[in-house]
Amino acid sequence: MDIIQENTNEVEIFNVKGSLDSNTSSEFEAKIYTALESGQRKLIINLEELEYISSAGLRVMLKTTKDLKRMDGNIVLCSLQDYVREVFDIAGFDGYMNIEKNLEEAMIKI
Amino acid sequence: MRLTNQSGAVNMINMEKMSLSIKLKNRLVDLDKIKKAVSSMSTTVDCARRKFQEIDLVLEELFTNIVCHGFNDNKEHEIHISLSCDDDTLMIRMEDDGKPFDVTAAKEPDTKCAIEKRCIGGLGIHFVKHFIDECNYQRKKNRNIVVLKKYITNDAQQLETDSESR
Repeated sequence: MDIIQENTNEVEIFNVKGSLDSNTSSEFEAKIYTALESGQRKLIINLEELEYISSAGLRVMLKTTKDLKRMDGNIVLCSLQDYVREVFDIAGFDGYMNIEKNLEEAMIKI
Repeated sequence: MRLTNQSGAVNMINMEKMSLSIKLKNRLVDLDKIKKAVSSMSTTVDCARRKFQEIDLVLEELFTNIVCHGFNDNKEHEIHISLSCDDDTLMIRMEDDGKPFDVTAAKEPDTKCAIEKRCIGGLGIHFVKHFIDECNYQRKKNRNIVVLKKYITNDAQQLETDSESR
């Protein structure tokens, strides 16, 4: 897994590449919480290059969504590959999260 | 059999009988061994990449479940996984000496509840049930034995079979 972070107009964008599984998700979680601790409240998770996700990765997404809701922040996911999208849908997470087709749409919705 | 998939590429369906087995310890780093085994199988067995992502997911969820919830002691345990492929079916067998856990009877999560009430528990087993076609559980000599079947026929072939049977 590789994460490239960028910040545009007070939005922290996480470009996640590779695999979010039981071994890699804790690193993703740590990076998100570092951003939250430094005051970021608008997060975009760009999953264009994410090829695999398991329940460990979904756990981080759910926890972050819940926490940002409490903090009056916002999180938008975008550019999910077919397999990743299906996993989100089966889990029922499409009902909890704002999932957009691409980064441009995500920047509008955040 | 020659088939054209959605991207227009031609696939040769040549599912030779193959099998492999791996021995793992009850530690999460061994997940990489599962990924490597599935990846090596995907080069031998010709079926959609998507199916292998689903197989990866099923194995990860079952394995992490055993590692995280299967043992009360701090001792090292072995978990055996064997994969075999026959024509259009992949068989998965997992064996461990952890606490009894009947995957077929495990409670399903409520995927429609409000986000505040939503827990992550049970999601892994929910994925297993979704992506697997047959699931059997046995408790034998203090061991959990799970046998799973997944049909790995390419969807294009499946559609062809469906239309023929109509």
